Amino acid sequence: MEPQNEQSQNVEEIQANPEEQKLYEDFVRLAIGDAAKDRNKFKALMDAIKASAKNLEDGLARLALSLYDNAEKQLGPVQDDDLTEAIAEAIIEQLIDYAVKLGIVDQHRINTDVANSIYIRMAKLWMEQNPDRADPEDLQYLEQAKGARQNG
Amino acid sequence: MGFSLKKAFKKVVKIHKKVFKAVFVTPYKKLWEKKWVRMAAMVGAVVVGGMALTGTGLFAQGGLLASNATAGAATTATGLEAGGTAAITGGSAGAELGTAAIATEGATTAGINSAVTGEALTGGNILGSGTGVAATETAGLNTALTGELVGSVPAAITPPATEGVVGGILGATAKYPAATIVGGMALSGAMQSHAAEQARKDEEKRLEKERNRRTAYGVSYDGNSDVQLNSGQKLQEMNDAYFANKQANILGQNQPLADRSSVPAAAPPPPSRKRIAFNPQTKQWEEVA
Repeated sequence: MEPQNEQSQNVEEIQANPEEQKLYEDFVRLAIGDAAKDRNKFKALMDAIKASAKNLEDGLARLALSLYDNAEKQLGPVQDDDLTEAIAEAIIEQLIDYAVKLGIVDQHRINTDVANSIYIRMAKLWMEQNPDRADPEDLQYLEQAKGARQNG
Repeated sequence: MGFSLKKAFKKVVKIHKKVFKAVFVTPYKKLWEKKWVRMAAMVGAVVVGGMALTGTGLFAQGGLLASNATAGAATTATGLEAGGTAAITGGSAGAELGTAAIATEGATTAGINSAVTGEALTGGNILGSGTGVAATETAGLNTALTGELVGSVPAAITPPATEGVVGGILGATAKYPAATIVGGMALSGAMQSHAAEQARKDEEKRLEKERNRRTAYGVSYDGNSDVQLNSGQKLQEMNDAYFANKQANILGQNQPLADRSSVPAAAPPPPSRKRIAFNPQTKQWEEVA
């Protein structure tokens, strides 16, 4: 099930500079890495993941966003879209890994669509909660989609 | 700035991606390969899916489902039509069934697994009975892989209950709206049948409960409310009376013993055994008194 234009994507990778790399590491560690060091925090995180079992994507998206928000509160808002994207990916990956290890989802069920839908859900939730920070074009697209849904 | 889905909305084909060295190593890094193209398919189809699913209140799921339909469509030439049609008509079929329980799990599962949205919703409808997910997955998989023309006939002729679900799946795999709706109807039939079956089981349980209530504590099966003591209870009562009187006698109250005539008489003692001993005079074994 690959989209038709799958082959047409052209990705040009640019290595993050050391400052960006450090910021990324700080965020990811604070968002999810530190939980593993604190027994209570880790248990709370595992409980939250287990609670997501019924609707994995929505549950993990909400959990990922809360971890992201928590890190932002401590380190300040992330200004770089690429950095946001990379942090979100790292958090989602780690949550998926935990979910598989906890046995609430089979590893074979994890594919790109699952990961992407968690990401999309997380991004949409963030935009709803932060309309002042969201890209106006994104909001416009979302509004259009919402309007189409209501009128169609 | 923060999160943005613009790259997906605009279906950007040239991506400049900043690369960071991973903090944690997980086996899921590859999930992000060609992320924006995949997302373009998912997010871009939100509008279509949203329209198809209007009235069902399923924005997020609609987007996902429809997008998967698009993604599925790309594999084969027929897939596009099949997936797209399924996305729209399936949505209608789901809406027609009128159940508000188009919920999370069925829809999401179908969204993950493949192309058929309507059946995802239909599957979602019967999630309550626990049969939706598998049906959904199968339906989605079938359509995603082949987009084949199975449909209205099997769905229409399939009897209700479990087989109705099968009918639904077959309908789900059809290219044409009618077939999909028929599939939906088959499922609907299955749901009705399920409801009838459930009602029958409930009635059976109720009757069984009533029977148990009436037969408890010695009340007879025929509903007679007179309590009939069983033989065990009778004997116990007589013994109690006997020992109460016997105790009174010991205490000098000289009351007559309870009538035990109805108690079976004790069996006579077994005949005494003869005792023999060896007589050294006669050097024989002889009976002794």
